[in-house]
Amino acid sequence: MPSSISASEHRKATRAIAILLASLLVYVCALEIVTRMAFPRINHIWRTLQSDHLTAVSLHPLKAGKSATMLMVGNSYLEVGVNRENLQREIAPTFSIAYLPMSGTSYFDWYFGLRKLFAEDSRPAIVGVCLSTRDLISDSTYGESFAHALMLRRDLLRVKKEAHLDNTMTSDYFFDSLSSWMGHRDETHNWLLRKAAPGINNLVSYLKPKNQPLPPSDVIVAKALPRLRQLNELAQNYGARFFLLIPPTMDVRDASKEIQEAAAKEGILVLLPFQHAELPESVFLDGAHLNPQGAALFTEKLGPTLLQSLYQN
Amino acid sequence: MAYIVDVYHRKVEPAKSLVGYALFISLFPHLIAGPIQRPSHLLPQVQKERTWDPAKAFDGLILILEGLFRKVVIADNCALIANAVFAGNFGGPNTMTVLLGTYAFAWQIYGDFSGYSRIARGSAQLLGFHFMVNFRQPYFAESLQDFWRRWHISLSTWLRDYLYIPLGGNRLGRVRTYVNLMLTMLLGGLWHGANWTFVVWGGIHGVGLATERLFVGKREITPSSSFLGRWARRIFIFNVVCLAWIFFRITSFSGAWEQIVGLMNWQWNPAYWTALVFLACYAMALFVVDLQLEASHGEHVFASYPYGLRILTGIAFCALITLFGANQESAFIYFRF
Repeated sequence: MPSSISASEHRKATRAIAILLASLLVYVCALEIVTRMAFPRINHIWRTLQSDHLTAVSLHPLKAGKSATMLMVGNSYLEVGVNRENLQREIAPTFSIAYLPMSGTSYFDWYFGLRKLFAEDSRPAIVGVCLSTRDLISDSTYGESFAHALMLRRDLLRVKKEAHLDNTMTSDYFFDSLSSWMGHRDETHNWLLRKAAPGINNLVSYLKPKNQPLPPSDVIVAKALPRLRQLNELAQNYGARFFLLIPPTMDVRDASKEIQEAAAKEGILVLLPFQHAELPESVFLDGAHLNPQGAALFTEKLGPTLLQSLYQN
Repeated sequence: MAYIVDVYHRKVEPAKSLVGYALFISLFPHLIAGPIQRPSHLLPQVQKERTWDPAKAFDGLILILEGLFRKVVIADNCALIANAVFAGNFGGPNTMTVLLGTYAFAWQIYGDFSGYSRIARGSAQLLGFHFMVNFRQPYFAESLQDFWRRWHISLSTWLRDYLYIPLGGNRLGRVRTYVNLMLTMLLGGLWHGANWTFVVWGGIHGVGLATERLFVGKREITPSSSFLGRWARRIFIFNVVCLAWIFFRITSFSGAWEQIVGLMNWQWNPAYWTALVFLACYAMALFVVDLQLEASHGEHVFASYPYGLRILTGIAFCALITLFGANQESAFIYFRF
C-alpha cells in the first residue's frame, strides 16, 4: 500500500475531512431547527397532539367551579373510537373532558406518560386510560415518539428496566427525549413517504407484524392487575380518580370481563361499555378500530356509562 | 485457523509479539462478522507503525456513510417487504408474493452485509488499517463463478484457499473437480448455520458452478461483448441467486418448497403493485450506486473524483439516512452466523 502522499494532498484531504464533518454538523443542526419550528405546522397529527398536551397540562380538578375535569388518554382506539363533541355533550355539565390520544401506545407509554403529565402540573379530577387488553399487557413502548413526548428524562432507567430495553434502545430514548428531530423521525419519515408515494397507505396494513394470539385469561389477569394497581396508585398520589376504559375490539377472548371483575374486587374501576363480540363486524374499520358508525354507537353508550360509574361513586 | 495454516505452510511469518497477534485477532472492525482478514494482509499492518493519513481517513468516513446508507435505507426498508411477505401478511405463496419476498430479501441481504462490510472497512481505515474489499457489485455477475468473485469475497477466497484447493481443486480430473466444488459449497452453506436449508442453498450454488464448469472446462467465463448479452446474463444469474436465497431465508425445507411451488400460482392484489414500486425505489437507489462503482472499478463511490463531489456524496448519504432510514431497527443479518 502506498503510504506517502505529498504535503498538498495531505492538506487537501485534511480540509475535505473538516468540510465534510462541519457540513454534517450544520445539516444535523438545521434538521433539528427545522423539525422544531416547521414540523408541528405541516403535520396535523403533531399539531393536534401538541394542542391536546397543552390542554392536558393546564387541567385543574374543577372547571369553571362546577364541572369535574376528566383527562382521557389512550391510543388509536380512543382517537377513532370516540366522538369528542358528542361525548362532551353527553356528560356535561357534570364532567368536562380533555383528551390526549396517541396512536400505537400501550401500557408503559401511559404509565410513564401520566407520570410526566402529573410532573408538568396536570391535575384532573379523573384520569381515564383507554387501552385494549392486548395493549394493557403489552411490554412494548412506542419508540421515539414516546421518549420525546411522554417520558420524563429522569424515568429513563426505570423505563429501561421495566420495558426490558437494551443499551442501544436506552441511549436512543435518551437522545429522542432531547432532540425534536430524533423524537419525530418516525413521523417525518412516514410523512415524507406519504408525500412521495400517496399509495403507500395501502401498504401500511400489510407491513405491520401480525398480532400474536392472546395468552389464556388467567395469565392476562395476572399481568393486568398489578398494572392497574400501579395506574390507580399513581392517579391517587395526585388526587385523581382512575379508571380503565376497555374499547370494543375483535380480539377473540380478550379476558376483559375477567379483568373487570378482578379489578372491582380491589376497588379499581374498569369500564366495559360493550362486552366482547357484542358489536357486529360491520362497525369495524380495519378489523380492529371502529368506523364512524361504530364510534357513534360506542360514544352513545360510553356517556351514560361514565356518568353512572363515576357520578354515583 | 488461517494463521496456523499459513504459518505452518510458511506463507506468513509468525507474529513478532503477543500484543500484535492479539490485536490482529481482536481488531474490532472485523471481530463480529468479518470481513475475514487474512494474516498475510492484516498482520504486517498490525506490526507496522501506523501514521495518520487524512486521505485514507476521508475515504473511511465516506465508506461508513455509504455503509449506513446501504443498511439503514436499503436493507431495512427492503426488510419491511421481505418480512411481511414471508410472515404471510400478503396471503399465501403465489407468483407475486414469492417474487416480491425473494427480490426484497435479495436486496435486503446485499444492502445489509455490504453495508456492514463497508462500515467495518471504513472504521478500520480511520484507524489506519486497510481491509480487503468484500463486495464488488455481486448482482452484476455474469456467471455464478463471477458472482462468487464478487459476493463475500473474504469468505469465498477463504473457502477456495483453505478448502477447495487443499481438497485438490481442479487438479485431480473432471469428476473430482465437480465433487470438490460441491463439497466446498455445501460446507460454505453449513458455515452459515446447522440447518438443511443452508445446505440446499450451498448445493444450488455448487450445482450451478459445476454446470458452468461442465460447459467451459478450466477456461475463465469471459464477459459478454454485447450490451444485451451482458444484461441478459446478469438478469439470469440474479434470478438463479434469488432462487437460492429462498432456501437461505426460509428456516424449513418444506416452507421453502411451498414458496417455490407458489411461483406457479398466479394471483393479483393491488397492494402487490404498491409493494413492488416501494421495493423498486430502494433497490434502484442501490443499483445506481453499484452502477457507478462497476463503471469506475473504485473501492467506494466517486473514489477518483475531486473532494468537492465526494463531500457532496457524503452529505447526500447522510440526508438519505436521516430522511429515509427505515422506522424499525434491526440487527445485521450476518451477526447470526
